[in-house]
Amino acid sequence: MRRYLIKNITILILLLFIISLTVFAILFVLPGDPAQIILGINATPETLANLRAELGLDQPFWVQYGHWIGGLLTGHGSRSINYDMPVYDLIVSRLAVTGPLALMAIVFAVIISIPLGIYAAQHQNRPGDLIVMGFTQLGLATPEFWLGILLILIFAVKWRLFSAGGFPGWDVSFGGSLKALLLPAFALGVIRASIITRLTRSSMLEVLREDYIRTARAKGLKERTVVYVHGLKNALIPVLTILGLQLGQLLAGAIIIENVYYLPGLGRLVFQAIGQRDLPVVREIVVFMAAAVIIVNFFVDFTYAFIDPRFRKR
Amino acid sequence: MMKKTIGLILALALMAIPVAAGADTPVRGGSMIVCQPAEPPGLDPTSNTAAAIDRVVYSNIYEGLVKVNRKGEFTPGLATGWDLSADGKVYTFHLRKGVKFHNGEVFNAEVAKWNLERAMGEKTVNAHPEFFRGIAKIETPDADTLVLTLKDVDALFIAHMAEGDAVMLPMKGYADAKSNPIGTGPFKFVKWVRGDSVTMARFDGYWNPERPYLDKVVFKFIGDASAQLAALKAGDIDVISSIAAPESAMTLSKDNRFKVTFGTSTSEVIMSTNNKVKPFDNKKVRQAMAYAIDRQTVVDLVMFGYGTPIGSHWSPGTPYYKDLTGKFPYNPEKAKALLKEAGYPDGFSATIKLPAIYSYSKRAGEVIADMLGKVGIKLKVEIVEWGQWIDRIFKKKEFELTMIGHAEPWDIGIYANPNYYFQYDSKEFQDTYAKALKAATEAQKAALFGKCQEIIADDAVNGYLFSAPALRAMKANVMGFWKNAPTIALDMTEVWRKK
Amino acid sequence: MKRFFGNKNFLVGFILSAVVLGMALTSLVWTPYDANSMNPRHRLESSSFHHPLGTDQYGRDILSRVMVGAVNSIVVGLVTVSIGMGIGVLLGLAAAYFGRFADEAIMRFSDLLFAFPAVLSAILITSILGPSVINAMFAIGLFYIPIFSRLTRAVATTTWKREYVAAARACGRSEWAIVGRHILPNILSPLIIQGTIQFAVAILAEAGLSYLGLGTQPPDPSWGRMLNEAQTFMDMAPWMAIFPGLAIAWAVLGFNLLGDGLRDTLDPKMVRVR
Repeated sequence: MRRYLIKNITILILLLFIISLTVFAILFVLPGDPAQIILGINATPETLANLRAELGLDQPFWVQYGHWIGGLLTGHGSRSINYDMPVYDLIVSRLAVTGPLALMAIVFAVIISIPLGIYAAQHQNRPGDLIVMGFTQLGLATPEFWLGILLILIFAVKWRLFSAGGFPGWDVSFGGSLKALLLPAFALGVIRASIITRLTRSSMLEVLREDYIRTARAKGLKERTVVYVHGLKNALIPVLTILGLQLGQLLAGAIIIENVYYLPGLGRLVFQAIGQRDLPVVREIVVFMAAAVIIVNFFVDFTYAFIDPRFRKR
Repeated sequence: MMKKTIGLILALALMAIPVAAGADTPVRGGSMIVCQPAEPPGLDPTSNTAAAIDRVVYSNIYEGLVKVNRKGEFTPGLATGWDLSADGKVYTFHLRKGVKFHNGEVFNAEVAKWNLERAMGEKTVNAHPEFFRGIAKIETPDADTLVLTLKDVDALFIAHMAEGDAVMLPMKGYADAKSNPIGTGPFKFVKWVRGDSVTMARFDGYWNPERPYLDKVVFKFIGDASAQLAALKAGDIDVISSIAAPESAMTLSKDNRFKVTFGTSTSEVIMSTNNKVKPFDNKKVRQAMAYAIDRQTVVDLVMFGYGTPIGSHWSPGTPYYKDLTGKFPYNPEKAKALLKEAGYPDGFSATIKLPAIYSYSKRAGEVIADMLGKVGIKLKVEIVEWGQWIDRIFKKKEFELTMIGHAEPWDIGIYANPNYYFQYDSKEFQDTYAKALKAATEAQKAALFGKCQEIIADDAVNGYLFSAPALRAMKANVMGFWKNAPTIALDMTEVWRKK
Repeated sequence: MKRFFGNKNFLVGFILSAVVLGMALTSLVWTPYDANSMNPRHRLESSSFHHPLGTDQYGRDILSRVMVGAVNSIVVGLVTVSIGMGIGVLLGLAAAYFGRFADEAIMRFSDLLFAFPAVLSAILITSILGPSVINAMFAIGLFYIPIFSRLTRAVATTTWKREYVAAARACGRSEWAIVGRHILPNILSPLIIQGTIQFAVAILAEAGLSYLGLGTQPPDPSWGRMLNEAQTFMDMAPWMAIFPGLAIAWAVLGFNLLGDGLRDTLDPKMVRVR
C-alpha cells in the first residue's frame, strides 16, 4: 500500500509539473504582445518597452517560469494584467457565480433524473420507460447552449419573465442574481439529467437483480420498501460518484452557457483572458482546473485500489 | 475602436441636445448607472492610450487645460482662455483660480508645468510624449499664467492639449493614479470593482458650484450586445453609452420607456489595404475595389442604417471635412473595366483578416467579401483574435486586407508614415501634410487638410466605408447626455435625471 | 442487414442520419439559393414559400445555409474520428503489445490529455493556431486519441493473451500478421460503435466552438456560428435561432441512436468509454 501511494503521488506531482510547464509554454508562444494589447496600437515603442519591463515580459522563458512556479509554491499567485489584482481573488469572485450555477444545475439534474430513472427502471421496456429513454436521447443530442437560447426565446423574448442574460451581482440584488442563474442552470441541468437518468436506470436495474433484493422480496417486504430502501440506497452510489465528477466538470464546462447568458463566471473569465492575453489569469485557471481533475482522478483510483487490491498490481 | 478621440463637430452643431427651459430645467440629485462596453485597464489616461480609460475618467474625474464641448469646439477647461502669439509659437494660458484637487491639493501654474514636464521627460510613461515634445520652454510668470513656447508651429497643439493624455494630475496624489485617480473634475473617485464597475461621487469642492447635477455616477462594464439590452430593459442600468449591436437600436427606439440617440463620432471604419503587396500595390486595383463597394448598402447591412458613408480618412464631424463620397460611386462595371486594365480580367483571390473582437468589422468584412465577389475578387475571410491582429497585421504587416475602425480624430498623419501597417508611401501626401501641420490660418488649414483628404481618396489607399455612429440608448428620463462623441469622453457634468 | 434494421434504435438513427447525409449530398449539387450570397432587400424575412426557413440579417436563405452546414458537420465528424482513431489505435496497440513502460507512458499521456478541460483546451489550441474549422477539428480530434487508445488497449490486451494468438505465433506468423488476422477484427466492432458515437460528439463540439467564434469562419455556414449570429436578432428574427439548433439536435440524435443500435446488435456487452 505504501509503495502504491508513493509511486502514485510521485506520478501525480510529475503530472502537475508537466501540466504547468505545458500551459506556460503554450502561453509563452501564443502570438500577441500583452503590453501592446494593453496600450493599444498607437503606443510608442518606449512606452511599450517600459510596460514590458514592468510586467517582467522581457525576461527569458525559464526565469519567467521559475518566478511563476516559485510564486505559486510559496503561496504568492500572480496578478492579473488586465484587472491589476491577484488572480486568486479574481478566481474567488468568479467562483461566486460559477459555483452556484453549477450547484443549481446539479440540483435541477437530480430533481429531474432520479425519479425518472427509478420510474424507467421499474417499468423496464414498457411504454413509460421508452418515453423516458426517448427524452434522454433528445437531451443527449441537444447542445446545451441551444437549449439556453431557446429558453431565452421563450422566457425572455416572448413572455418577458426573465431577462435575456446578464448578472446584477449578489450584493446588488440577491433575488435578481438567483433569477439570472435560473435559466442557464436549468439548461445545464436538463442536459445532465439525461445522462444521470440513464445511469440511475441501469444502476437500479442491476441492483434489483441482486440476490439480497430477491431475498427481501421473498421475505414479503412491500415492493415500495424493496425499491426505495434496499434498491435505491445501493443504486445511488455510482450515481453520486458521477454527480461529483459532473460538478467538477461544470466549473470548467460552463464556458459556453456563460457566454450565452453573459454571466461573469470562471469560464467566461478564462475565455476573455485568452483574448486579452491576460496570461497570468489563463495560466493559473487552467492549472487550477487541470489539477482539480487529476486530483479527483487520483482519489477515485486510490479508492478503487483500496477496495480491490488487484488494481494495485497494474 | 482603435484609439482616442477628439474632434470638432461643426456641421452637426445644430444637432446638439437643446436644453429648453421650463419643465426641462435641470434638477440636482440622484444617481445614474452608465453602461460602457469596455473595462479600462487602469484609470490613468496619461499613461495609456486605451479609449476606455478616457471614457470613464476624462471630464468626469480629470480635466485638462482645454476642454472639448458637445459641439466639438475647444473651450476653456482648467485654463479660462489662451492667447497665441503672431508667429503661432507662443501660447499663453490663463489658468482658472480656486481650483482644487479631490485630495485638497491646489492647482496652479506650477502644477501645470510639472505635469507637462512629466509628460515630455525622459522617463515618461505617457503614451504620446510627442504631443508635448514640441514645447521648447515652459514659463510661469505668476501662479495663474502658463507660457509655452513651441519649437515650431503646431496646428494640432490645442487639439492635443484637449486630449486625455494632457489632463492635470496632482503633484502629491499622482502615484496611484492607475487605481486611485485624483483629479480636479466634477466627480471624485469612490471605488473600482474589477470586472464590473467604477463608482464616482459628486465633488463638492468643484470650481463650478452649479455642477454637476448628479450625486453619484456608476460606469458599469457590459460589452455584450444582448446583455446590455437586457440590463437596460431590466432597469439595472440607465444608459447604454454605445450600443454594440445596431439592430437592437431599432427595437429600442419603438419602446417609449427608452430613447435612442444617433450622433456622430470621430471614428472611420476602413478596409485597410496593404499597399505594398500584389495586386494591391496597383492603384487601379484599389480604385476598382472602391467602385465595387456600395457604401450605403454596407451601412444598411452592417449598421442597420446607423452610420454615414465616407470617401476619405476623415469623419464628417471633424472640422475641414470634405465630402468625397462621390469620387468612386458604386459601379461594378467600371470596377471590372479597371481590373481588366490592371491586368486582372478574371479578377483574383485574396484574404481579408478581420479582428474577432469587433462585430462591426466582422460584419463589414462579410458584406465586402460578397460585394467584391460580384466583380471577380474572391475574398477568403479569416477572423483573427485581437492579439493576433496586433501582432501579425499591425506590427508584422502580414495581411492583404483587413477591416478596422480608426477612432482617433486628426489621425490622417498615419498616411505620412510609410511604415504604418497599410504601408502607403506618397511624397505628395507627406509634403502636403507637413505643410498642413504648419498652417497658421483657418483658411490654410482647411485647404491643406482638404488636400490631404483628397490625395488619399484619389489613391484609394484604403477602402473608405463609413463613419461609425455614436449610438446610445437610455431611459426616457435621462437628460443632457451628449448625443455626439466629438471627443473620447462620456462627460456626465451636465447630465441630470428628470423627476 | 435484417439484424440491424430489426433494432429500433438503429432504424430511427439510420433514418435521421440518412436525412442529414442526404441534405449534405444534395447541397453539393443544388441548394435553393447560393448559401453565401447576400440579398439586402430580403433580410430578416420569416418563413415563406420562397424561403421556407426564412432569411438572415444579410438576406441569405437559411434553408440553403442549413444544408451546406450539414456538409460541414459531417466533414468535422469524419476528420476528427479519423484523427482520434488513427492515432489512438496505434497507441493502444503499442501499449498492449509492449506493455510495461510503454504502456505506462501511453496511458499517462492519456491521463494528461484527459486532465485538461476539453473546451478550454480547444479554445487555447484555436487561439494559438488561429480560429478555423481545420484547427477546431484538430483540437477535437486530439481529445479523441485517448478515448480510442484506451479502448484498443483494453480489447487488444485480452486478445493477445488468447490461446489462438499463441497458437498462431507458434505457427510462425509474424506479429503484424497476428495484428491483422486476430487483433484488428476483434477491435473492429467496438471501434465502429465508439466511432459513431464520437462522430455525434464531434458535431456537438464543433457547434460549440463555432458558437464561440473559434470554429468555422464566415461566410461558410456552420450551425453553431449561425446560432451565434442569431442571438442579437432574437427579438426580430427568432427563426434564425431555431432551425440551426434543430439541425444540430437532429444530426446528433441520429448518430447517437445509430451508435446505440450498432452496439445493441454488434456487441451487447460493450460499455461506453467515458
